[in-house]
Amino acid sequence: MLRKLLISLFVLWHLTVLVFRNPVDIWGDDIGVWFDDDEKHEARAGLKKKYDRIDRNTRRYTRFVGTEQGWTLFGSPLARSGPWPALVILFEDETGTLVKSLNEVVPGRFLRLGMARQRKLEDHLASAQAAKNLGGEETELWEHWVQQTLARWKSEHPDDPRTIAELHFVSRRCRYLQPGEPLEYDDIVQTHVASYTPDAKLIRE
Amino acid sequence: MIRRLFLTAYAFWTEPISAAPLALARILFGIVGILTISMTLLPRVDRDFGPGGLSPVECLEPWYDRTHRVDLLRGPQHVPLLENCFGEASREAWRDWGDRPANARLVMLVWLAAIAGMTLGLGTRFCCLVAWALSISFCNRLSWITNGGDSLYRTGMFYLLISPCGKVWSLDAWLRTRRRKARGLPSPDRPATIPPWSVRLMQIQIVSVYLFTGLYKCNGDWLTGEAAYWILNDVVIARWSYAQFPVPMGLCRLASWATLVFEVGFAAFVLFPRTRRAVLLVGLAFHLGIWATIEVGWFGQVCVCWYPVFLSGPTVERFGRWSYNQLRFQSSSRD
Repeated sequence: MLRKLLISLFVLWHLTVLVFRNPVDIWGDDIGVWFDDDEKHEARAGLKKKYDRIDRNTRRYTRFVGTEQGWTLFGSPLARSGPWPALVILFEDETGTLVKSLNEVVPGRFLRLGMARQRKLEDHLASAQAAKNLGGEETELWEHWVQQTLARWKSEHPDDPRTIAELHFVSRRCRYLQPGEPLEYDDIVQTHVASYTPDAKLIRE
Repeated sequence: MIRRLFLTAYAFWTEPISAAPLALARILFGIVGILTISMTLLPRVDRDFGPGGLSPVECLEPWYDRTHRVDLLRGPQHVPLLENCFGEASREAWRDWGDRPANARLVMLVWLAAIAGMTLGLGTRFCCLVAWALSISFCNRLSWITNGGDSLYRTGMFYLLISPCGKVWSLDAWLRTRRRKARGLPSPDRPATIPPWSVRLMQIQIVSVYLFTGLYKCNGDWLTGEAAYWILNDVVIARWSYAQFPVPMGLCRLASWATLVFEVGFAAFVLFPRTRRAVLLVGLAFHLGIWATIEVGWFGQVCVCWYPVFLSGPTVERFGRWSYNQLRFQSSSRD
């Protein structure tokens, strides 16, 4: 009997979590705006308190048991352009070289197999949004990517005698074709994101 | 009317169901997990862990502490009861140990072994517990390289942990039957049944995934029908270049709208036995289509692992008997 009661309580709790978290994880910001409405702010204060408590507890529970919701795959608007990170190596003799991501393809001709995990990381690094965090909590993440990309270049060019002066992390963005546009891609646009010392330490500008 | 509804709901949550569909889900989760982890995570341990790794623990720690996340490679933080048992020095030592690539590889092999044990149904509950705990840890630790597929897999591990997924089609069940026989007890009744609540929760979970991802899409590009065009045209994730194999806009619109109908309607279609099998087959084709056209990891494969929980007991049992006979036939013809 006790076992049945405990199971019933657990099922009820878990269902509540699913019903609450699924919309809140997607439209949480909109719900927040509704609560903060200037005119009705006071009237909704009591409800907001309860909402916050449920939000906090259900969020902690889903994170602990690993059942976080928020299923927002391929939401609109879809990307009109996409970035790849790359490394520009500048040498002391004032020459330079571009080390592209292994995920970067020739937009008009490719077949992609695998590398989804590296692509996920590089999507993050090359996105303009993430670049705002540069120099903050994620500094080492970027430095390590620069380090590993440099190590890849060095292993591919073991006999290159040039001395490295500086490293530049760049984002290379490809604009996708509009519907009906001729099937030819524009040149990739390269943007400087950050500079690094030869041993891949961020140069704070 | 209300009484009938109540009785239906009561039966839905309490009437015992066949254990075979859940066992098939367990086996599928196991096979897909072993293949994907060993092919996509294990080979890159040296790149992700260690002092120059791409998942630096020092970058993750503020996020772990802000959001109360568990990472058993980092230490006991945020694990109730466990977190207060260790002093600062032990935590530091734990953290350093877990950050070494060789140790991370070892833990990943333990994770794979637990999933293998779960697949075979040997010490099923314990293996599910280990697989679940390590799924959470690796999902958090490798959060820059994990995606929706990993989240759905980790979610699946939780449901398998709380369910009697090793009741049939497992070495545990085989050993139980042998022990009963040895003691002269009769074999357990067939087909084996289980309380339905854990399977019902799994069904509701996957229905929620489709429903909310579908509702989230109900605007902009998806309503105009251009969404499939932009996805196929996304040179960062597309399997091939749109310029080489352009798909007509009419077909893209059809694919976009069909996706919306499938995702939003999945709950309704799967509810009725008449449309259930068809919608599951459409789902299979849908995920196969995604896999063939874009490279987004293993979300589709993991989604399909959940499908057996919608199948009827007799259907899955028939499939199980057929597979068993095939295996027996093959081994006897080899003899």
